[in-house]
Amino acid sequence: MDPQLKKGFLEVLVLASLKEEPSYGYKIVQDVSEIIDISESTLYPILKRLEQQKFVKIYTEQHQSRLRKYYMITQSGLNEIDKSKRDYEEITKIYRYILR
Amino acid sequence: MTKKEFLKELRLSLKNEADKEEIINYYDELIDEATLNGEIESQFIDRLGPIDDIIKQMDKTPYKKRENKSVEVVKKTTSKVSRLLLETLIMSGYALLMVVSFSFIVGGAFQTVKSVSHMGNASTNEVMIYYIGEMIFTIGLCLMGIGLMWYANAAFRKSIRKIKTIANEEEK
Repeated sequence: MDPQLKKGFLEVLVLASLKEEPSYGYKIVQDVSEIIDISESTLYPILKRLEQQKFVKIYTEQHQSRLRKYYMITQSGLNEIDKSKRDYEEITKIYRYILR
Repeated sequence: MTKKEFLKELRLSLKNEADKEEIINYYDELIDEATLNGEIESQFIDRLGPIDDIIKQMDKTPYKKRENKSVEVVKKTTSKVSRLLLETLIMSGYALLMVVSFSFIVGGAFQTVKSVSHMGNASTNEVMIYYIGEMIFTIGLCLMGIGLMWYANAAFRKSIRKIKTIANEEEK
C-alpha cells in the first residue's frame, strides 16, 4: 500500500483495535498486523500521537509479576473512529471513480 | 543480541531525547511480552531491525522534531520565561480585579447605609421609592463585588501556584 495512504489508516486501525478492550503494545502489533503490515517501531510514535491527542489513556497493571502498560480508548478516540466512518463513503466514491 | 545489549545500545543511540526512558521502557516491555508469548528473545530483537532504523522511524513522526541540545535548551528556557511572564501578567490582572471588587464592596456598602439612613427622612412616597431603588442597586453592586472578589482571589491563588510550578521546572 502507498505509504501516505497507509499512514492515514494506521492511527484509526490502532484505535479500532482498542475498541473492544484495552490492550498493550505487543498485542496491538499482532492484532493490527492481521489487517495491515505494522512494525513495533512504527507503533510507538503512533501510540504517542494518540496519547497526545487524548484519543487513548494509559494505565499500568500487574501481569505475571511485572507491570504491563495498557492503552485504553477514550470518548474522543471513539469519536475519531466515527469520523473515519464518515470518510468511508467519500473514499469508496473515489475508488469507484478510479477503478471504473 | 540479548535484551540487555539491545537496551544498552538503544540508550546510547537515543542520547538526550526527552522521552528516552519511555522509549526504553516500551522496548523493554515489548521484548518481555514477546518471550512470554513463546518467541525467542534474540530472534525477536533481530526482527525489530537495526537501532538506527528504529530511531529514524521515530524521526519520521511529526509530533516531535529532533534538534540539537543547545537549540532545545534555548527553546525550553525561552518558553519557560515567556510562560512565567504571561502568568505574572495574568496574576496582575487578577490583583487589579480584586482592587476593583473591593471598591465595589466598600462603595456599595457605604451607599446602601446612606440610602437606608435617608429613607427615614423621606418626605414623600416618591422619594422613599427612589431610596429603595438606590438601596437595591447598591446592594447588587456590593454582592457583585463580593462575587468578583471571590473569583479573583481563587484565580490569583491558582496563578501563584502555576508560577511556583514553572519556577520549580526551571530549577531542575
